[in-house]
Amino acid sequence: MVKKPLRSALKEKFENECLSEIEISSLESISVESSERLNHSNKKFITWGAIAASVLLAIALTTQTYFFNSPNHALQNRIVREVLTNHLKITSLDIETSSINEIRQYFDRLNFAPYLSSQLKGIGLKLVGGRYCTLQGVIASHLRFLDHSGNIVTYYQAHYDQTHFGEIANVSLGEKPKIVYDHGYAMTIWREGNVVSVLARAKS
Amino acid sequence: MTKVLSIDRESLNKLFRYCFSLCKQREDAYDLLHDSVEKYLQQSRPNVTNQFAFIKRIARNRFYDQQRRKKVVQFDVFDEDEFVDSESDLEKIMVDKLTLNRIWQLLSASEREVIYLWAGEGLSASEIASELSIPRATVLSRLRRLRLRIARDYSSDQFGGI
Repeated sequence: MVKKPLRSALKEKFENECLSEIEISSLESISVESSERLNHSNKKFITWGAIAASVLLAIALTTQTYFFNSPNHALQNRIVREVLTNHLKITSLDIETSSINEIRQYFDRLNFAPYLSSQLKGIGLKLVGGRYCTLQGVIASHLRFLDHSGNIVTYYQAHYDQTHFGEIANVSLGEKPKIVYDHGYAMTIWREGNVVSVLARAKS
Repeated sequence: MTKVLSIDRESLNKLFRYCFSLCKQREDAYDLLHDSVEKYLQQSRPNVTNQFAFIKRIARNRFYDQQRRKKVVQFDVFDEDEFVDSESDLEKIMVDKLTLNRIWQLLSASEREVIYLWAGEGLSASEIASELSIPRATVLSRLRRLRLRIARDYSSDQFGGI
């Protein structure tokens, strides 16, 4: 075995530990609402130049560029990345069961009962269990399935509210779920009534 | 107002490696970093000039708070008779990857932290002592224990007499 000076060997060991692209994206997408108010000294710095810049930005936001980079689009990307990151982590489950009834009994801290949406029909999924998690800070159920090839499929459900999740396709009203492809995975996001669902599986 | 992280990727990776030195496991390190970033953004302190140092401190405090809650107690054994300059001794040691990985698993969190700051961030014992607000002697003690562990792991013939 090749020997190296201890300090170099350690440095190399540490440098081999890197965040993945998904992990970096997940960290960069963390955002919190701040109730910070402008104090008096901050207000002094609001100049006419800043106001003019804001007007120009508002004009720019009405272009096609805005359409593709809207806050809602960015929010949905953050939701997708959060679920994908957790999908890849394969964290241990709180409950291992193939029974949806046992799942419903377990997830009694949610203000809805997790269910298998009609959007999952025809995929051939086998339930293996679940755990509590959060989605954009909202308590959520994280259910794990196996598909017919033995691949893990992740299914998140949380109580929907517009503040945390923005505008999401409502299949109850006939809208189609949104599908985002990210790092070789198909991420489907939709809501039914007051429940938002996100499904993560390998792109086939 | 929404607050987001404004820190470059290299700094994020450095923070992750620091968390890794504390937690030993990759998954735990990522969780610690994620929680620390969230806590940093939730704090209403304005105008933090060094986000990197601030988040690092949050991560450290969080980690040791968790350790205390888990009642993981670590004692630093300081041998007052040991006046060897452990920094220069460590520079002479040659080690293979297998031995390094084996020893890494045996180190305590405080030892891993000091070793990361020494090797990963290239700090001297005095700089490490200043950053962690601990005596320089404690830093040297932890570095010395690494040296002794390596020495025990190797036979005396392989270790070249150190």
